[in-house]
Amino acid sequence: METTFIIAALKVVGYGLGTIGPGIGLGLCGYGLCVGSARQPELAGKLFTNALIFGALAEALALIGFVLTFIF
Amino acid sequence: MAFELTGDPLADIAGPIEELSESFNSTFVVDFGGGIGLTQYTVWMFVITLVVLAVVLIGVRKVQVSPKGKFAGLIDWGYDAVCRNMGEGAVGHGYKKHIPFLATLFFFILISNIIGLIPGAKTPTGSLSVTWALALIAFVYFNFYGIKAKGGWGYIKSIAPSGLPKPMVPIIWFFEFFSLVIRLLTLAVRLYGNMFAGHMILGIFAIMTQFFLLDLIQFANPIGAASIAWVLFLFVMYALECLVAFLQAYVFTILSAVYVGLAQGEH
Repeated sequence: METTFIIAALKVVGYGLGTIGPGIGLGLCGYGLCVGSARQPELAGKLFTNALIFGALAEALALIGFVLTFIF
Repeated sequence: MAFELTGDPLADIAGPIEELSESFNSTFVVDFGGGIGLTQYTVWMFVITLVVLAVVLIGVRKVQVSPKGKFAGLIDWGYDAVCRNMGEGAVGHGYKKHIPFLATLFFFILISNIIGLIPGAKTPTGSLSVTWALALIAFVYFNFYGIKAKGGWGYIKSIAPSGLPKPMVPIIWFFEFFSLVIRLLTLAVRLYGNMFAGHMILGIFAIMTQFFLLDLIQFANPIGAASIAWVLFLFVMYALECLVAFLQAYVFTILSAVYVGLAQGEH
């Protein structure tokens, strides 16, 4: 009971730590999109598509962490 | 199931929360025997398929040159968003033949997300099996069109961007290949994680509201007054989930469109 609780708690803490990097990455991605489309509004559509691709890449790590909490 | 109150609401909610998280597991509603049957998610998928069909067919009946009525206008606007934004913007050249696939994905995911917000209904997208299937369909689809556009060997070569110095090509190819394979996982888990976590949070806030309120009534425990805060959080999270329902359907579809565009186009 006690050890399973500790393992469950550690999983949550580990996933929380794992979201820091992707969080910063997604923030930078959104920042780049906002700044870029404010400077060049006519490129906004193209920038948005690129931002989605890189946002998906940055998010991948957080999602892998989410899956790992189920596996172990 | 009834749970006993002990006077400490934080200790009381442990049982109901466990029951809540078990209610997300697939269980047979209709059992044909031999491990074959319909789970609650499958049943809701049938319901949602019928709703999508009804919505689109009723909408299409009224769409003429200019759509008549608010409902038909809404369907027309949604389809137009798929065409313009996802088709033209993300797939690029030759987007017309991909519109049926993208529109089907978008409307199916959107309507199942929205129906899942109705209390008592289950969203199929909150089950990992359904999102794996959807992601697998999208994955096979964009790889198929990539191979069709460039040929088998041409598609494998085009995974690494052109114009790299020769020694770098295998390394970059490996990384790009990894990011291509992981799209299957990320598409599935993004949708599942968002919907599952959202519904879990809504359930937890509902349970907390109920147990803190019961505690206030039965034991006149001042900590029970926190149920006002929990019900406010519940409303805020519900509004957020309404946004997430749209957002995740949009993100899933536009990422599929982007991947189709990447697989087809010049890299």
